[in-house]
Amino acid sequence: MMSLSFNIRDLNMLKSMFRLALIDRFVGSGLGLIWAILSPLMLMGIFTFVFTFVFPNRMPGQGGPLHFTIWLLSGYGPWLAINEGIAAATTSVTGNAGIVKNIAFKSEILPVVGAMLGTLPLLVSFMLIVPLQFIAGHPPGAGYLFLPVVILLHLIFISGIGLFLAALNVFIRDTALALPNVLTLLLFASPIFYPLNVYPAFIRPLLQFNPFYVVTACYRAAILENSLPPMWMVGYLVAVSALMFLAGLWWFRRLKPYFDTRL
Amino acid sequence: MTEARIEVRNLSKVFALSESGGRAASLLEALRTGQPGVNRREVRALQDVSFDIKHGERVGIIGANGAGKTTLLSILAGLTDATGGTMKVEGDIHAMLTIGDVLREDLTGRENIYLDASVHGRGREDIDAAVEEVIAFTELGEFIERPVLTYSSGMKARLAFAMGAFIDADVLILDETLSVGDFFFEKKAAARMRRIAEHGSIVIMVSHGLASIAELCTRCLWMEDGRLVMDGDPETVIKAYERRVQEADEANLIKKFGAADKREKRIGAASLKDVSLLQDGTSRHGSVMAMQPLTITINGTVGHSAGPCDLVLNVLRVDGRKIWQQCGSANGLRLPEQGVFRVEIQMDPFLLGASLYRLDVAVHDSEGMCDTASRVFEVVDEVGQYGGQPQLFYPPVISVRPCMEPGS
Repeated sequence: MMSLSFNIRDLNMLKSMFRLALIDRFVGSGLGLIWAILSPLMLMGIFTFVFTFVFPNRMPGQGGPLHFTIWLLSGYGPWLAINEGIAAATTSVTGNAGIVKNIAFKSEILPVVGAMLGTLPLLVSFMLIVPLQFIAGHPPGAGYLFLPVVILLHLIFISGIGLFLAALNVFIRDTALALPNVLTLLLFASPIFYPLNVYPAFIRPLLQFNPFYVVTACYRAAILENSLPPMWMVGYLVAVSALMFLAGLWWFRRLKPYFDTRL
Repeated sequence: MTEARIEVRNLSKVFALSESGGRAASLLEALRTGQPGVNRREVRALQDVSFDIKHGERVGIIGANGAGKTTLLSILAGLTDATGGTMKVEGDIHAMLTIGDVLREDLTGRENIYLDASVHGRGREDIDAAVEEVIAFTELGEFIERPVLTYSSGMKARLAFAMGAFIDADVLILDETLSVGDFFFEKKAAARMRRIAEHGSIVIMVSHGLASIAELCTRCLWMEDGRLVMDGDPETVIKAYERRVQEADEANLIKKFGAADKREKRIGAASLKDVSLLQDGTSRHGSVMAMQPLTITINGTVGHSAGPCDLVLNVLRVDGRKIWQQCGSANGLRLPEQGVFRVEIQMDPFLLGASLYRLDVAVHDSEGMCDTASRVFEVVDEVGQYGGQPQLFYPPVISVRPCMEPGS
């Protein structure tokens, strides 16, 4: 079994690098941190409008546009977190070449920091969902207590993907360029904007094992239904995240010795 | 504080190159390494380097570009792994290989100090304790509260240096960082370096400024082609290194003049052993100073020559123009009929203008040329002239005063 060999120093480094990433991302632009709130807000607004008024068919969450909006945001918010996390992780090593080459630390930390950046849009979506839930008369319940577990599994899963893509991007810079397209494709291939039951019956058993769907389904269960997600989902997510993370870490460490010739 | 110590044994570093072309290894090649039967092209940046560094030593590393200095520092700093050999380091390491990696233009100087220290693994309390001292050292005054993008490059360098130099590491690794900032700050930085080293920790620095190595270091390593050539006190090592550089320069200069005299030599009749150039009591290679007396010393042997031998001296400029030609006999020089000879020629005043020259010395007997020897040198004018580049610095009066000592 591969040893993960991280220690308390790496944890501190994780914090420092997260701070640095936040600074790089938002300080210096005119509106600064406002963009962190504004851009997910706009995206969520657009999709809510489109799926509430333009294609208002087959919406789950009976009870009108408000309920549908809450349903949509509870899945789209986590997706934005996934999207942002993967994108940030992929460029984390190439974008921080100076630091990687000049400060002795475990560069495995960088993709993890990237995945963590995704929590910002997630936070923004909760800032919308919670008030809306109060307005709709269904205030947040005990299901929220399970959210930290879901967020942790989500971060481990995305870190794994990020580790893989970040190392790949050092060798093949096209990775970061191709990524937005792949992510859009993935978004529409996952039952996030529409419930699983709108898909043809024969493909549903397969689709429900899509890990991106499982992540959003876990969020939705905790937010909307005030209940634990189905146990198989939690178990499946634990397995997939752990596997993805270990595989990503192995891949990253395998390629790491060659970084200095490519950065 | 622990006793800092570094022990390096047979350290090697190989950079993998792509199998075809000169690029770095590709993804597939990187993934396949370690499998049998994979041929790799590689660059050996470091070969079999061993040394120990004890507590309190300030070690300078010198060498030409590409000698492996920076690679060695990166390995010592833990940035890259060696591909062979072992390295043992006791103590905290802090490396300043390039400055300002963490410097963020939009933050103020003070914020940057906190950020940099946290990235280098310092706690908030540690930074609070040191921050005022760092700020005082940077001499930035009110600028410390302004965004770094308003700084001049010198101010940035000062901030970056101060941030690095106030991290209390047992082992401090520096690459060329002293050559930043203005003259006064450089002095201050040098003083700071000395204080760090005197505190008992280890300082390792790479610099092309030999003077700063001589001034700051207690020990000097000379690297060439990834190997350790010499290890000793700075004065000795730097002297040897400078000599090597001059010799390499002269070899390059000779190439510029193209092929030497191809005429057949009759060494049996008479031969030249060496021609040396002396200025200020030191032997010069590659370059000589303008307007300082130059002594040319010629050693040779007369064998079974046909008739009396004579020396012919020629000074040729790089563009092919013959500047000066003289025969020894015309100046009353008589070589011995047989045996070794040593001729000294004083050029005083030395008046060749700043350019590249070749000095050809030939020994003739009555049947013609017996042997030749050449030296190429560049005349360096450190003072500089107004109104163009004169060929000669004084009216062309050259007095050759040959003197002869039988035997030597």
